Amino acid sequence: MLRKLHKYANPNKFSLIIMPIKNVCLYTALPLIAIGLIIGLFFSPPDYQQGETVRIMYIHVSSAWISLFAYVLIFLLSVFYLIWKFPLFVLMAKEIPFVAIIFTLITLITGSLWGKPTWGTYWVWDARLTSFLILLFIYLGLIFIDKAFKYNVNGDLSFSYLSIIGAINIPIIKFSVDWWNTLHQPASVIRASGPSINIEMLIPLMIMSTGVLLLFFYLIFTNIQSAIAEKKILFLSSKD
Amino acid sequence: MNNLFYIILKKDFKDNLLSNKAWFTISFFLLCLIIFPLAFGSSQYLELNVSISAIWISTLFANLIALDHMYKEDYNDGTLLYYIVNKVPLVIVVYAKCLSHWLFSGLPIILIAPLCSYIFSGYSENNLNLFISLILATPIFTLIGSPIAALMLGSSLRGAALTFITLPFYLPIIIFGVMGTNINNSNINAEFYLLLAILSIGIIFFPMITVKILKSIIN
Repeated sequence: MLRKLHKYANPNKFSLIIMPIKNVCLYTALPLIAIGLIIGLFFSPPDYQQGETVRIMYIHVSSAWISLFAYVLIFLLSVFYLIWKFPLFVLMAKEIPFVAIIFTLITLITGSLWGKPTWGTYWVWDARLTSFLILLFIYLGLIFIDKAFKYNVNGDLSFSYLSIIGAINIPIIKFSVDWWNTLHQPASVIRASGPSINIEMLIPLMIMSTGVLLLFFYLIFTNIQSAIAEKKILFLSSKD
Repeated sequence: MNNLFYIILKKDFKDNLLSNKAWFTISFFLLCLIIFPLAFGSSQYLELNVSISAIWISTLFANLIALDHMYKEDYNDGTLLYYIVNKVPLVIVVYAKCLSHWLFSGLPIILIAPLCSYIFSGYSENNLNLFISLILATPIFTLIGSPIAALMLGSSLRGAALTFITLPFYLPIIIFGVMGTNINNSNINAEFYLLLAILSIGIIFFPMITVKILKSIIN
C-alpha cells in the first residue's frame, strides 16, 4: 500500500495534486466560518454562569484545537521523515509553524480577553496557560532552528529531532486541567464520558472548528507550494 | 567499558581545566547574582522570594552559557568523528560529557548557593530545601540541554539560538524547583518527588536521544 503512495512523494506531482484540494479547502472554509460565527454569535444561548462572554469560545476553542493539532502534525511528519527519509515530509513540517503560531497567538489573546470578565484578570500563571505559552515559544524555537541552518544539510534532522523532543509538551497541555487544580475550566467536549456541553453550543462550535481546520489546511498548502517553488528556484540558480 | 568512561572523563577534565572554562561558569553565576541587589537599589537584605528567584535565574543562565561548548570543540576538531570511526560506544561519550558538564556547571553552584542565599536575604531556614532542589534540578538542566546542544552542531548562529530553544524546556523545572525551595509551601515533598521522577526518566531518555542525534548528524 505504501508503494502506491511513493509517486506522490515527488514534490512536483504533490504541488499539482494539492492545487485543487487547496481551492476546495478555501471555498468550503469561508462559508463554514461565516455560518458558524452567525449561529454562534446570534442564535446560540448564553451561558448560565458566564453570560454573553461565552461566545468568545467559538473562536478560542477552535483555534486552540488547531494549534495543538498542528503540533501533532509536525511531530508525525518529522517521525515519518526520520523513518522513510522522504524530504517532502520535512518540507511540509517546516511550513507548519508559521501558520500554527498565528493560531496560538489568537488562542492566547482571545483567552485573556475572555479571562478578564470571568476570572477578573487578563493572565494568571496557571498550568494550562503557562504550558500553552511554552507551546508558543517552542513554535518560535522551531522557526529559529530552521533559519539557523542556512548553509548546512543538518537543518532537516535538527528540526525533526527538536519537534520530537518538544512533543512532550502536548500531553501536558491536554491533561493540565485534570492533573492540577487550575483556574481554566476542565475539558467539556473531548473527554472519556462524552461531551458535557449543551448541544446548541456544540453545533456552532463544530461548524466553526471544521471551518478553521480547512482554513488551516489551505494556508499550509499555499505555504508548501511556495516552498517547493522556492527550492526549485534555488536549485536552478545554483546550477550556473 | 568503565575504563573508557574514565579516559573520556579525564580528557574532558583536562580540556575544561586547561582552557579556563571551569572557572568561567561559576564566575558568571556570581556576576549574574550581583546584579539583583544592585538592581533593587537598596543596601539592605533582599526579600526571601527575590533571593530565591535570583539564585534560580543565575543557575539557569550559568548552565545555558556552559551548554554552548558541550560538544562544540570535540565536533570542530574531529574528536567525535574519531570516536565513531573507532567504534567507541557513543553512550559512554555522552554520559561522560553530561557528567563533566554537571561537575563544572552544577556542582559548584549547588555548593555555593546556600551561602549566597544567606548573604543576600539573611534567612537560613530554607537552605536545606534550596540545596536539595538544586541537587535535583541541575542534573535535569544538563540532561535536557545535551540533546539540544547536539542539535545545534554545525549551525551558523549557535549561541543565541541555543539559548532561545533550550529555555522553554527548562521552564517546568524552574517552576517545580522554586515551588520546592519555598519554605511556606505545606506539601513540600511533592515537588521533590516530581523532580526526582523527571530526573530518573531523563537520565535514560535524554542521553539516548543525544546518541541518535550525534550519530545522524556526524554521518
